[in-house]
Amino acid sequence: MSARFKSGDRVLVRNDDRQGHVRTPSYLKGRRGTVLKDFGAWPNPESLAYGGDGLPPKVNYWVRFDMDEVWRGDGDYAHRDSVVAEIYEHWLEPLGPSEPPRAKRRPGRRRAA
Amino acid sequence: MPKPKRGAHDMGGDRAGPIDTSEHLPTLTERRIDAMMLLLRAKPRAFWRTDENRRAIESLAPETYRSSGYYQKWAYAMRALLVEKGILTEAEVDRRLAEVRRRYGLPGPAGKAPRRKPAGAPLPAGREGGGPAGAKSGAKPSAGAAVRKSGPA
Repeated sequence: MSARFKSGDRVLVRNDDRQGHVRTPSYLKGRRGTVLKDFGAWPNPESLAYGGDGLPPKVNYWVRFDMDEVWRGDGDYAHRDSVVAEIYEHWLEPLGPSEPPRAKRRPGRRRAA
Repeated sequence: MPKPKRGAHDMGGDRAGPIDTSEHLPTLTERRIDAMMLLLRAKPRAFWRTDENRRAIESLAPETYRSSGYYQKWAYAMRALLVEKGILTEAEVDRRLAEVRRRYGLPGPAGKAPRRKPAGAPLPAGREGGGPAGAKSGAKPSAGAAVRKSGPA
């Protein structure tokens, strides 16, 4: 299964409020980020969680989100920091043309589980 | 901007208040729960997967989720999944809990965590009521532990 996105692609996390077990945290839904890395395809946890076979597998990505994009001024956070989360491909939509990855900036330390 | 509905576990960004980061030794009960979970999930049995365990914990009622400790959530998940997989019935668990309560002279509920309504979650139908009938009738894919054995995670 080939990956739909590559490093540097801008993506939007689907604002899907389906209930039940998903691996996408709500605070990232509807937020825009940049793909850092693709981790290959894995059995779909949303199927495995209900005794399914996890097929078809889904590609998992590291996606970086700027904290300003995530929280939009709401609350205390480091404005120049970012958060990196693992997001499965079916949660991501393409967002415009690619931009080169910002290699110089270190991604944030905080990772969403 | 309206944020999607979310479960009690989906708490990223919420005010957490002060967090107690002090170390403590696991209690005997915690060790036992840990050991039981390891045995239930060890190959070749592997009665359920990590993702099912997460789903079972996330299915706890929000009040229960928030008021329960880490291993308490594990114990609730074990109970729910053992019944769901047809390994134990609700009646067997209840009977045994009643015995234990009697042995120690304890009052109180059976220890079954209230479940959140699945709300569209693809849980197998007819499982909510639990009980021997519900557990046995399961022709659904999640019914048998035997199904589990074939696939590595």
